[in-house]
Amino acid sequence: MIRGAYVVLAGLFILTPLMVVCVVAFTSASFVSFPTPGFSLRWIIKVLADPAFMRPLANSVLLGLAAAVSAAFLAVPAALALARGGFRGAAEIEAFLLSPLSLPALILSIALLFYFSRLGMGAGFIGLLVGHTVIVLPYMLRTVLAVARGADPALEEAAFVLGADPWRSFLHVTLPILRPGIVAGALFAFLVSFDEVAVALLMSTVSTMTLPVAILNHVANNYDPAIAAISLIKIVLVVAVLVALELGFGLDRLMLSRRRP
Amino acid sequence: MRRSTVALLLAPAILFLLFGFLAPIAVGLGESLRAGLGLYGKIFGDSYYLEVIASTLALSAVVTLISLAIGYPYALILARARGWRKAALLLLLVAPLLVNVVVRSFGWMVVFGRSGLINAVLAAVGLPAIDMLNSWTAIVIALVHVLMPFMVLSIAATLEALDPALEEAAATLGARPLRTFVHVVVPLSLHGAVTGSILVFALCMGSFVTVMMMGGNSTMVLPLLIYQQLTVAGDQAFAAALGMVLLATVVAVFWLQGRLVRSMRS
Amino acid sequence: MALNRLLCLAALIASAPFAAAVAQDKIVVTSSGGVWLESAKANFAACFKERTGKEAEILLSASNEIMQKLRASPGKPPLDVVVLSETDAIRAGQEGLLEKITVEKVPNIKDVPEVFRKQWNDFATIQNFGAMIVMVNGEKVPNPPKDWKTLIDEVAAGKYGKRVSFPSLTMPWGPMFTWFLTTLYDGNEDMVFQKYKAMLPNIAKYWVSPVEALNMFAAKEIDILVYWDGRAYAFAEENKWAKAYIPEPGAFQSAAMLAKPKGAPDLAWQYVDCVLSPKAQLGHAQMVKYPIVNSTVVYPPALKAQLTPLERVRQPDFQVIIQKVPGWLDRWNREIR
Repeated sequence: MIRGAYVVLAGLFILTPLMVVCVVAFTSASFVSFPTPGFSLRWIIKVLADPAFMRPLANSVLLGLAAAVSAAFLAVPAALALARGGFRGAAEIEAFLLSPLSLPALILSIALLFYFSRLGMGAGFIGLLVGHTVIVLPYMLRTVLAVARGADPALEEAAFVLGADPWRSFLHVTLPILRPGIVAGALFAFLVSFDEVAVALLMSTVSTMTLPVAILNHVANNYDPAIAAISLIKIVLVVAVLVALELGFGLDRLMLSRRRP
Repeated sequence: MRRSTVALLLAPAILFLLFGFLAPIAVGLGESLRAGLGLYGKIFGDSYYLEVIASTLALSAVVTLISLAIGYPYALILARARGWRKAALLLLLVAPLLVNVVVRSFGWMVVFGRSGLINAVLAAVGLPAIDMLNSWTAIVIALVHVLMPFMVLSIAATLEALDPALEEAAATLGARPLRTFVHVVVPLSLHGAVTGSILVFALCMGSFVTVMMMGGNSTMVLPLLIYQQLTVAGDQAFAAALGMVLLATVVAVFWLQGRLVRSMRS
Repeated sequence: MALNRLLCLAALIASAPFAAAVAQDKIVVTSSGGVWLESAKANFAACFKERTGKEAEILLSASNEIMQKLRASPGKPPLDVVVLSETDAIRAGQEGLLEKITVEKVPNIKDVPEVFRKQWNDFATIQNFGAMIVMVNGEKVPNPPKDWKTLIDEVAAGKYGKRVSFPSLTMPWGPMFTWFLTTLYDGNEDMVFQKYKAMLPNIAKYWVSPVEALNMFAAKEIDILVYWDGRAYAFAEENKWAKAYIPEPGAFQSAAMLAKPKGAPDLAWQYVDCVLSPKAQLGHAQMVKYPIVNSTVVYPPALKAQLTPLERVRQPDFQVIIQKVPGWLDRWNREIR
């Protein structure tokens, strides 16, 4: 009962402003206004047919996935060491690995731009990927670390004692335990990269422009319902991904530790 | 774990940040920093800047606490949900992040505005209208709205890693649900709550677009000052100095929080 | 096998920047998004393609980011033709990041009156300009004041309630608007800040981002908004309740500055010349609804009625503004709150 009331209230809080956006996406007017004078699909169709939005959308998806994967390869081993290591300086190393969280992306992006120019590399996908991996690494590290610290180290030891080599015990015992942390971290990594604009602004080229940059440049000079339409398209895209994941793998299996009965 | 294993596991992340984070800051900002050491005196010797730093910290703290209070129950429900219900809860949670900040703030304007939805409801039940737009309240609500996923998913991840056998064992041993919750679930999800708080706090300290769009004439935060220096004044050195102050402030808060958690545990 | 593939990939990645430098079959130019991008494609890049047979790739980029990119690699710009704000164009010229525009390289510049380039020492030229004017909700304010000073005093007196928005000094063109106000008050800065302060209780918000301003106006949270002319007229055309007008004695000129960075190939001059050509200029004005600078262009009457005439705008003194900005910004942050 209480739970039901809470979900309804939380849902209202989250959805009310977003419903406005969804309605605006179907407006027939040329300007953002509410209530809308009439309904049409013109903005949805315009955005779907416009390479100025669709190419950046594809770039952003690719970049988000690449950043999430890179962050996972860097952060999971580090989180394991930090959770199990118990060595001197662990706290300082953890603070260092989390520090990109606290530098404003505006400053990081300018620094990266000058750094890459100094190295003779221009803006481009590599610069974007490095910048975004720096930004999302702390998210992955923190979520994996939280799960690793809560997990029971005895399990891995048991596997080790039972004769599994470290790699196999990592693959079959540790990784499944860490899975909720990795999935949450990857989700953050993707969403943060998908919405990141400061680094993307300076590192984008014509062919690697990301969606937030395209949107920012669009609204800077034209304020029309295309932005509402693209937001709606992103939501539909995520719905599709969730449905595919649920049908393909089962979200439970992806998001829960494998220790469950 | 052997020392060499620890080093091997940590090396990739540390090296990556050395080359991709520290080196750029050193190379890119070295000059503007050298040019502007006196700028730090300007910042710390001026009550205006200290006031802005304080309000930035206060805003982040308030948003973090509210996100924790609202987000914890959501995380509990999300972690226990299965199948399609879980997918729906997850979608609901991350939806705000998918909607561009510009149209999201228009959505809030329709909700909060003087002729908005909330005031329409208030008028219908005969209550006076409230003016929430362009205020700290509006900023806090909009930030909680968009940052809550970071809190909820961090907590949910630790809850999902929790062995249900533990709770069952507690129940079998005769513990009442509330006792099980307080003594078993909460302590084990503490790491998640700390993680969520760190992420929400740091994101809040860096956010300026929401503050710019939802705030009023008197709502100023540090990242917005940085943005002004870059876009209006074109003063990169001062922007960099303010950025370093922001970085130092957040690192100091993390350090304090780390000590607090450690002393709580021992 | 896997290693081979990895090495190939590494070689490819490493050679990518060089490949781009060798292939001189396209140039990269900047533009704003939306209708500006459409116009740049249809008018400027099309002309460039027709003349040279080569592509002009258009990167959406704002002035502030362009400046960062030019400063990061002086002499080897990643952009071949740029569109900057007025103050950034002056700064870039002074920092030696731009090349002078001459009649030999850009023949069409002869038809661009000197007033559009003088302040920039020919390092940049205005490609189109606009003005900041007043939008009102005609249903709530049927007879808005005819001049700026009356408007400001009436707002300060609370005649329109807290339903007014002016541009903040902290938005990129805020200093130019502030300069314009000083010209109304005999150059008295203190007076302008007093007026800003006096209006504050009756200002819903001094707007920082153009979209929040239009958000407030479209949601009818405000009845009076000081805003860009092109977009104000376009909004009023679609929403009959909205009106837009230029108060006396006119408005300040705000412009998009066209420039070629130092080190960009000579091919880029062709694009600059294209932007200033009569045909492309007229096409641009028709699409973006802002006046252009080539004096040989004759507007069709319907279009002419929508464009702010040159006589109604004053060009700010940008040298003065650049020097004043840091102090003004500081004062604004402390006083106007």
